[in-house]
This record gives sequence, structure tokens and C-alpha cells, in this order.
Amino acid sequence: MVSGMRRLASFLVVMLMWTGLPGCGGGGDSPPSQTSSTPPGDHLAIINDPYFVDQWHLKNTGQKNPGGQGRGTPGEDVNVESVWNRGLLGQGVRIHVVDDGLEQGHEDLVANVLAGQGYNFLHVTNGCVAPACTPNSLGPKDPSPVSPNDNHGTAVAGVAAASANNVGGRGAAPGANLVGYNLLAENFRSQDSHDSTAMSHKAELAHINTNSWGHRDGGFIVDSGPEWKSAVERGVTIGRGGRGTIYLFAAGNGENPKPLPSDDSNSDGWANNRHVMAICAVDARGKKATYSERGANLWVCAPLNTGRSVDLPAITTTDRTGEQGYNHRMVDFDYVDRSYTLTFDGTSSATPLAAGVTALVLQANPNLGWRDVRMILAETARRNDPTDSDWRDIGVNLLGGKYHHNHKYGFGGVDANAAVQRATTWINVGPQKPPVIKERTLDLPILDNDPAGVTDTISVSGSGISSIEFIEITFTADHEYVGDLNVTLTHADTGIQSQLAAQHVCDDDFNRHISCGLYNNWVFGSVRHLGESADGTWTLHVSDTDPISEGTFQSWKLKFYGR
Amino acid sequence: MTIFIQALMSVFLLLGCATLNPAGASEETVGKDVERLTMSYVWYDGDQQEHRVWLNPTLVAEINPTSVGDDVLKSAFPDMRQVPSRYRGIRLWAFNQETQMEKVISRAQSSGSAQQYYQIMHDASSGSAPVRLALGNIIVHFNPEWSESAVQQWAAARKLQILRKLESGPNNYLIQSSPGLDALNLANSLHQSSGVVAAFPDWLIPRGR
Repeated sequence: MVSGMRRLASFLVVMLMWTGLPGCGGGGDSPPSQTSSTPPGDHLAIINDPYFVDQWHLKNTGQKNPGGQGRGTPGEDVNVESVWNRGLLGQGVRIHVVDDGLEQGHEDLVANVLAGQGYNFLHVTNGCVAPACTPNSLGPKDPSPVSPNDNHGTAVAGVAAASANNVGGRGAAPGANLVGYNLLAENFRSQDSHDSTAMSHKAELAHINTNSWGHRDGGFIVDSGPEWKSAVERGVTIGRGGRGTIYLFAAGNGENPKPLPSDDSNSDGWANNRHVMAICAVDARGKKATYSERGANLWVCAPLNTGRSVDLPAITTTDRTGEQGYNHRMVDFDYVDRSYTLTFDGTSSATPLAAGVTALVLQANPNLGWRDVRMILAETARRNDPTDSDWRDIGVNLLGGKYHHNHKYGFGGVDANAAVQRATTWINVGPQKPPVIKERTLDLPILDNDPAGVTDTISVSGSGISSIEFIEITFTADHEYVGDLNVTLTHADTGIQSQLAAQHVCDDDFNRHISCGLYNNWVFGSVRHLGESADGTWTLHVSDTDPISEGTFQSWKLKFYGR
Repeated sequence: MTIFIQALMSVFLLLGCATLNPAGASEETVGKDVERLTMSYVWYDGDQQEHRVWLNPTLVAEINPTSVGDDVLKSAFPDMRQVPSRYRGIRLWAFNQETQMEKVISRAQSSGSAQQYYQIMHDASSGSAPVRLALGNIIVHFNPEWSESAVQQWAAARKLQILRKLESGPNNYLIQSSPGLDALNLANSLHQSSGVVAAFPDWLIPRGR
């Protein structure tokens, strides 16, 4: 009875806030918050941002790539227009953009930028010390790019939240607020302490923290720093007034078919962290972008272009004003107005697009916890490329149905309208149970160049976790070349498999084969068992399918997070 | 793997090649982990999980390099040569002799050179494995119950300088240290000492966009 009344009260609060929100202004602490660039009520007006017609990722009408012949498929977009028409533009939501800078004065960003809230890592008061850092002349709270090569962040910011102001294009959340962090500025070599600052600075105010960066592509294993991990763990605890900051990371652009895929998002210690949503990319026809990395850790995909070719259109977004930026008119079909470009792409573009959609969800229901947001996006994502053979129905969602997951697409294409609608009726899930850990130490030789490999089993019973939210798989193998290894986790009770690693080669920027690193307590992440019970039989299969190098499967550990 | 590539690997093994010379590098594979590093060191992360890094004795990293480089060092170490680097803002220099790495670093420090050079550590025992650099300073997680004055007293007693409190945890601090193995050794000496929950170098881990 008490539980039912509590649920009813939560629902009523949500409904009251949703109906009252379109009149709210922006977020932030003192000084007074920035107001939305679009007055409430004007959202039903015709969209006059002149480049919106090119922004197929927001509304795909089958636009043609101006530089080629390819056209997109109508409907393959984030389905956001009807959300805007209901007055939801992301007002009051604060997006932290961690990149190489953010041009705060750009005509299509300035109205949404929270002045005085950003962070300039290239200022001496913020610890900029030679030789790791070359100070610039801007203030400590101004992350505007100075170096001619720091163009990335301004483009990212525009995808998320360029204003709806009859100028340029618009972002997915054109009323959201932007705060920039120039962690990746050219003249700054960030260390773990700086990475953690970018995640935790003003976390209590940060709704969303979007990151279009990670380890360098090439297939090798690189872990995130321990202090970065502490920061995101703290951010989901204290962020957003205790509801948790939403962290998004690009899945990575390192998949390079050659004869073998070369990179997996699960080799990136930022993208496979349990507090992060890894964002993959689909093209204008709803198919996987060629370079978008696959992984058992992928959350959702968002649109961009297919592979830096001229076959399908890329993303229109803000570019550094004037002579700077990507738009040098090197391709004759880019905008004459060089403050904008239509050539942006990569999971770098997909990630802020998903961040903008997340902003709309949070505006619709500000009471959502960080775990609730993830589950809403997972539950409502579209099963794009529906005939792809890797789709699996998994677990049980909160409507009693199934999630679906694909190593290429995560839970599918992010759908703003479905997610916002679901957010308005969502009842927050309860707290997570204490994580359940099971581990095995063994010393099994991995047969060289033999797909039969070796398999070990862990049985789980009485875990108390009936709905998994994330699994960490800690793996140790002593092997001469870990790129030879295939590692697959299977929940025997459901048959669902997580391919954690597949045989590949690792290469550097000069196409030379290099070491892939070492599986020494390497932590893989899997979201492919979302909604499953942790109880049951779990197997880990390890095989070596390339000759010469040999090794031993030494240990593994499963850590289940859920409720 | 083709016989040709196996033969190529054999050649590299015989030569004991441990550098990445752009002039001599083949476009074919340079082999799987043919460069074996032997000096490894343990460090512990925020969860006290043990990790290992391998020191590369024939490479140094130059951070935010100038366009010209250090002519003084080049004249002092004529076999010092630049090798391809995939890391933004980090230039790599290789030497033929392992002992020269330390000499270059100390020579740059003592001469007051604007450019500093740092030891390179790898996450595996191959010279082509992903790198991480200890540019200096360590991160320490103290007992959450400790007050700020208790932390300051602790640091003063050990003649350590607190640089700043970090926002990433209840009692996490950045503490000054020398770079390279000095940072790693200091962190390890503090690991699990009284009041210290975790201690590790403030790593630079190259990343991409």
C-alpha cells in the first residue's frame, strides 16, 4: 500500500514537472543561469535555421550528399522533431563538452554557452605548467580554441546544442546549455589528474558529460587512468544533485575491415567503463558506419556518415568562425559560410548527438537517475538494420518485454521521441544490490591456432540480482600476442553471448603491426545481459586462431552489477 | 603467416632490433613482440589492483616539442634519432645504447633546457606496446575520515608538497614528485601505508579523437 502510494506520488510529480517545464529557463549556479535561446511557445514555428535542411541526422528526408550521388533513407534519424514540437528543446539541461575547446562566441553557440562556467586547462591558475602545457592568453574559464588544430570541440558542441535561432543549423537539444573543457587542446598533455578534473569539475551541476575521445585507434588495449575512474564513479554518485551525471563516450573509429576488424570498443578503458554509455554510429541508411567499433559494451548508436567517403552525406554542424576550422573549402561542396561545415563525422559526431537526445529526456523528466536514463535509451532504441544476424532479444525490460542488442549497434538507434515519451511515465528503479563477484584462477594452455580453445565455467546461485545492469569481466592471460585471442562470455541459461575480443591485428598510424598490449587483469565490460538474472552458469571461452604465438589462460572474474 | 614474414621476423630477432627507425622500417609486419623489454615495475591502482609496466631503455619522449628540437643534445648524442610517433604532442627519440637514455634526461635537466625528456614505459614487454608516461607527481587517496589538516601534517612529516585537492574523491590529492621511476617508486612506498588508501603516478596516457 505504502509502496503503491509512493509510486503514484512520483508519477504525479513527474507529470506536473513535464507539463510545467517548457516555461523554465536554463540551469547553472550563480551567476544567474543562461536563458534558452528559443522562447517557449515558438517551437511550433517553422524551423528557419537555414542549414537544417542538410541535417539529415535530425530529419532524414533522403537528402543527397552534395559531393556525391548517395542519398540517405528517409526516417533514418534520431526522430527528434516531434519532441521539439512539444516544446522540449533541452532547456535547463547542462551539457559538459570535454574536447579540444569550444568557441564560446560562435554565433550559433553563444546563446547556449554558460559564460564563466567553462574550464581552460591552458591557464596557469588551472595548473598549466611547461613543458606539459603551453599557456594561452585566455581566461581560466574560457575554453575557446586558440591553436589552428583545435577544431573538434566546436563541431561537437554544435551537434549537441547549436541554437534554434534562424542562423546556421541546430543541435539535437537546441535549448540546452553548454560548458566547455579543453582537455584535449593541442598544447596540453593531459595527465590522469586532468582527466579526472574534466569529469568531476562542477559535477554537482552537470547533467551530461559528453566525450568524443578515447584511446588511439589501432586495436591495442589501453586502460583509462585510475583517477579518471574515481571521478566518474563520484560523478554518478554526487552529480546532478545526487541523481548522477550522465557520461557518454565515443565507441571509437578504429574498425578497419582489411581482412580482420582491427579494433573493438572493449579495448578502450574509457568506453567500456560501467559508468559510461559507449555510443556507436550508423549512416544515413541506418547501417553501421564502416569504422564504428563493435563491442559488447555498446549502448546505443546515433547517425553520422558511412566512412569518410563521398557516398553518403556527413554531418552539418558549427565550425570555428572564419579562417579557422575544418571548412577550408577544400571540398567545393562545403558551405561558403565557413563558420559551418557539412563534413563532420565519426563516433565523435554520434556521441554529442546522443548527448543532445539525453538532454531532451532529462528535460522531460529531471528526476531520472543516471541508471534510469540508460535503461530508457536502451528500451526505446530502434532495431535498425533489422535483418542483421547479430540481433538478440535479451533480458526483461521494465515493461515486461525484451531488450535487443547487437555487437555493432548496441541496443539500437537512439530514438528521441520514444525515449522522451517513455521518460514521462518512467518510475525510477530502486538502488543497485551490492555487486556479486565470482572468480577462478587456473593455468590452462591456450592451444595455438586452434578454434577449439579452452573453456572455463563459473556457477552463480543466490546472487539476489534478478536484473543485470552491467558485467565486468576481469581477464588475465599470459600470451605472446593477445591479438590472436578470441574471448567469449556465455550465459548458458539464456544462450546469450558477449564477444569480448576477436582475433585481430594491432597497428600504428604507419600501418605497422605492433603489440596489442597485455591481458593482465584487463576489465572487459558487457551490457548484453541487461535484464537477465545473474544466477546460472557462465562460461568463458578463449581460443587462439593465429599461428606462432602461444599462451596460458590464467584467471577470470565476473562482477555483476544490478538489482 | 607466410614464410616470408617468418623470415623477416628472424632477421629482426638476429639484429636485436629494439627501435622504430622510419628509414629502415618495412611496410610489412615488424613482427609480433620481437622487442622484449626486461625491466618491469609494479604499480597499484585506486582499487589496489596490481599492474606492471616495462621501461624502454632506448627511447625517450619529448613533450610539446619545438619545431627544431634541442641542437645541444643532438650534438652531444649524435646517434640520437627521431622515430615515428603516433602520439599528439609527443616526439620520440631513440638511441643505440641503453645507457644513453638516462644521460639524455639528466643532461637536459642539468643544462636547464627548455625541453625535457621522459622515460617511456609500456603496458607490455614489447617496445611497440602502448605507452604511458610518468611526467611527475603522484595521486594519493587518503582515509576518507582524515581531515585536511591531518593530510597536511602527513605530507609535512614526509617532506612532500601537496599541489592540490582533487574533486574526484572524498580525500584525493595531487602530490609533487619527480618524473619517471621516481614517481612510481614514491607511490609504491606510500601504497597501503598508514592512512593511505591508494597511491599511483599521475600517468599521461596518450589518447585520440
